[in-house]
Amino acid sequence: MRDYLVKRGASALVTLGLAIVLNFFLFRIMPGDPTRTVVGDFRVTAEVRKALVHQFGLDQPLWIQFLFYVQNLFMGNLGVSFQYRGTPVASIIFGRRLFNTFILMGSSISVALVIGIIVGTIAAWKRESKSDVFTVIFSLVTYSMPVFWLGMMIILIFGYYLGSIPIAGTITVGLTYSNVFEYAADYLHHMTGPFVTLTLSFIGYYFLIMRDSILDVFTEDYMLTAKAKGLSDRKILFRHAMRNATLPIVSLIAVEVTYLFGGATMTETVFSWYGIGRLVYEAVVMADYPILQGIFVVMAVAVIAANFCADIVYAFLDPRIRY
Amino acid sequence: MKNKTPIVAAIFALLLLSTVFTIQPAHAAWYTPPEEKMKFPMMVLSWDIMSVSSGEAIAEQLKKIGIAIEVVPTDDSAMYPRLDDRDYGIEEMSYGYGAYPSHMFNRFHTSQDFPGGLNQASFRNATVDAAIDEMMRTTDREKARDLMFKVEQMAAENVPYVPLFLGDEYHPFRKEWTGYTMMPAGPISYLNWLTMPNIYSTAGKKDFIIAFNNEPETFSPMAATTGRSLFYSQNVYDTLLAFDDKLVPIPWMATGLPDVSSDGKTMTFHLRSGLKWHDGQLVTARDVIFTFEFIVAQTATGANAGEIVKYFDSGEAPDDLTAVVHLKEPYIWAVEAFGTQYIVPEHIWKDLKYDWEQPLVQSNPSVTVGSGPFMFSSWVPGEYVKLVKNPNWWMTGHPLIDTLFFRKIDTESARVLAIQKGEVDTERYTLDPSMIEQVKANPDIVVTHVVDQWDYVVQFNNKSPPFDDVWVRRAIAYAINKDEVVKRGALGYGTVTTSYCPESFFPFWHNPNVLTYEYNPDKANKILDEQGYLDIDGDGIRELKEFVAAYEQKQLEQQQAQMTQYLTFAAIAVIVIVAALYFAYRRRKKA
Repeated sequence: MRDYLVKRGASALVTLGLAIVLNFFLFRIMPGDPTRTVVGDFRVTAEVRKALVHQFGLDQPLWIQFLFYVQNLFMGNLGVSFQYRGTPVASIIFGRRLFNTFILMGSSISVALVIGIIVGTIAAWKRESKSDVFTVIFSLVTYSMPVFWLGMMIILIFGYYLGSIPIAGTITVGLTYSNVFEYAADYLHHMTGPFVTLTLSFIGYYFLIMRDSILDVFTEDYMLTAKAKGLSDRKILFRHAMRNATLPIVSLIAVEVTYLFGGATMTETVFSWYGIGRLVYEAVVMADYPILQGIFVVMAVAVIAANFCADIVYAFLDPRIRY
Repeated sequence: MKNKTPIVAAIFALLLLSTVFTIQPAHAAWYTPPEEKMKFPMMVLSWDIMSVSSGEAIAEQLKKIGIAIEVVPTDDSAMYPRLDDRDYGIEEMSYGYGAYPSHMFNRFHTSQDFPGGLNQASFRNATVDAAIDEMMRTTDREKARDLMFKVEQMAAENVPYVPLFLGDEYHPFRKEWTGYTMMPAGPISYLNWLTMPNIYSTAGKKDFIIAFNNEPETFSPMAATTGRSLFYSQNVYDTLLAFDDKLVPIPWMATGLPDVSSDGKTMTFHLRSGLKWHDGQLVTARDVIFTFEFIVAQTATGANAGEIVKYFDSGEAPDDLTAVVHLKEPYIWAVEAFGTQYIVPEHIWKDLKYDWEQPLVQSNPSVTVGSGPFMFSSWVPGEYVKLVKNPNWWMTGHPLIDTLFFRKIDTESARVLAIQKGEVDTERYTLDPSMIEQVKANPDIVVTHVVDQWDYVVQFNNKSPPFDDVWVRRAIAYAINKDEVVKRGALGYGTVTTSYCPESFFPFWHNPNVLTYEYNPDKANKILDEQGYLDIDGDGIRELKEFVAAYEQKQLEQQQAQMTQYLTFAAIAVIVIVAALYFAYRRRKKA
């Protein structure tokens, strides 16, 4: 077991190192002048721009910039943003944005996961029946629907015509809250739209995978044994089939961690949800390298860590796994 | 060790690391002038549908005179650097006007043609430079106007770029709101000081909510260069002068226009008495002079900073209400440039950098102290900025609203829905042309209409062949049907421009008697034919003048070569026949 952990840990670290190198150079290959962001409009003089280039260290040779970058990384300094005039990237990422994205993505992925797993299991059991066909079609439709279109329809129908959800933002403008619960209520009210949109778009994915996985498990010998033993349908389904079929989902979840940090850019844009996905888009448009690098490093660390944990969890769940 | 994976991984890692030393940032030139055909890529701004559609319309029109244009939608981050480096041949996008026509200097003077300079057309003309220089230095407005007229005429003759149309500004307001001022660039713009203090609701609502597409990226007026930050600066900070609805300077913090000395190098501003900062301290002339000194000392980048850095020499405040400004040399628009600079408090800014970081407002709110009609109240990042009415503002009784919100809503459709639903009262910029009719039809909304400050143009790189040939530029100007461009590019919501100094913005400076290029594709064709840009291979695209000339030269040479060849063959044939006959004759005699 220890060997397994050490090997996995080592490969995780190597992956992380490669990710950092790639991360740095990928953005340098892009065309576009980052200082353009800082000076914005057309009224600025070229001398000022030259001073800014020097200030941000962009006139140094590339490998020196890289060394500074790695050094700063280990000190927890993710650099300063170009477009926000020197605001530390770490404070931009690890602020409201991450909180908003985490809560939104975390809740919608969790709910979609739970619903997808349970309904997928039941649908596999009732294969070819009307309810199975209906849920499969429903999943395919919601999964292939463009997320932004779904979001815009929800805003239009529930936000504009019915007025039951707000049109934009995470909180109401100008409202002062007397306690945390009022704030939470307002926040959750605003989250309803994006939450429903995202959950609907994720459900199909988990449902179909779970259903396939269970159908696969049904072909195993131990399923026949369980039935022969005379166990109830529910016990066979939930204690034997589902447990084994959930294994691939564990690996999936590790990958989904990317979404927790990457956000769902289109949903966040449509609902004006102040999150990381939207930050990535804005940083790309404004060629704000430090923010992009910062996000990608954070995401790389999160994904690699999550995969490492998934490996460990897998080893516990499945006694057959040994490296 | 049977497992080869670590070795493979190590090699891969080494390869990646080697990129550290070999990768160079992409700096290759994007554009190379064509050598044979009149075929050009034309950059348009990808996020601006009006730029893209106008570009497509123009490409079709130019095809009819034998010029092939490939429309290339390009993102800001790639387009602006190329324009800065003059790495283009022809492009089309919009440029903005301010309240006074300093763009005539920025766009046409040789000194502004450097990487990053605003003379993106690389227009260099010594006569124009001389006229502009004289105009900028004079203090006699009539004389300046005569010189400006000359500059406009020369620009029209040389066509450094082709002005197309000024967009329309359609602003939706919820019906209950009134009191806003209509002027060029719209009721809500950073040229319009009059709307926010005077707007009020007939339904008694005291909160005004404006939907922004993005929040201000800085709260510092010294670093504000984008429309959203400038609008914030305008509401929280005050200026000596403002503009009325004809874009003429009017007194604001000052009691009147400044006294200008006869040599034009000294301006004296007289402040109103009783002006107060948001923290209660008195505004004095010392703050005014400090502001100018600060901008120069830190080379700030805010709206008027360029002009202030260029012209400010020194200043003094002989008493609390008198500010004397000395210029390095006279400047025709010194009054406007210095008069509309946001004034900051010395007692707070003496320890600040000009571009202090945005989150500072939360840890140190005193940085937001200004003397404008509104005071900074709170900022929820990514959601809204809240400003409250300044009860001590010099225009007693104003503003008429209690609170002003900047609400961030990312998409235009969401903003329009929010206005229709009543969640916000208006938006920061003009309505998207595709939504104008729908919003106008809504009985709860009033849509105002005025000319906008964004002028769409087709710009040439005057140094890049064949656009260095004035006849090519003129031909293209004649070939463009501006009415159709407005219809295609702006769905009809635009006004055709024929002037480099449009009347709608600059009635005093506008020269009505300049050469204009009416749509005349026949004339365009004739010009190109006469100049030698002919289509020699019949594919509908003209070849370049040099190539045509070289081609004709080549033709001639080819013909000559052929002639020589034929002659040589003929000569050889004759010699062979004669020789054959001779030898045959000799043989016969022998036999």
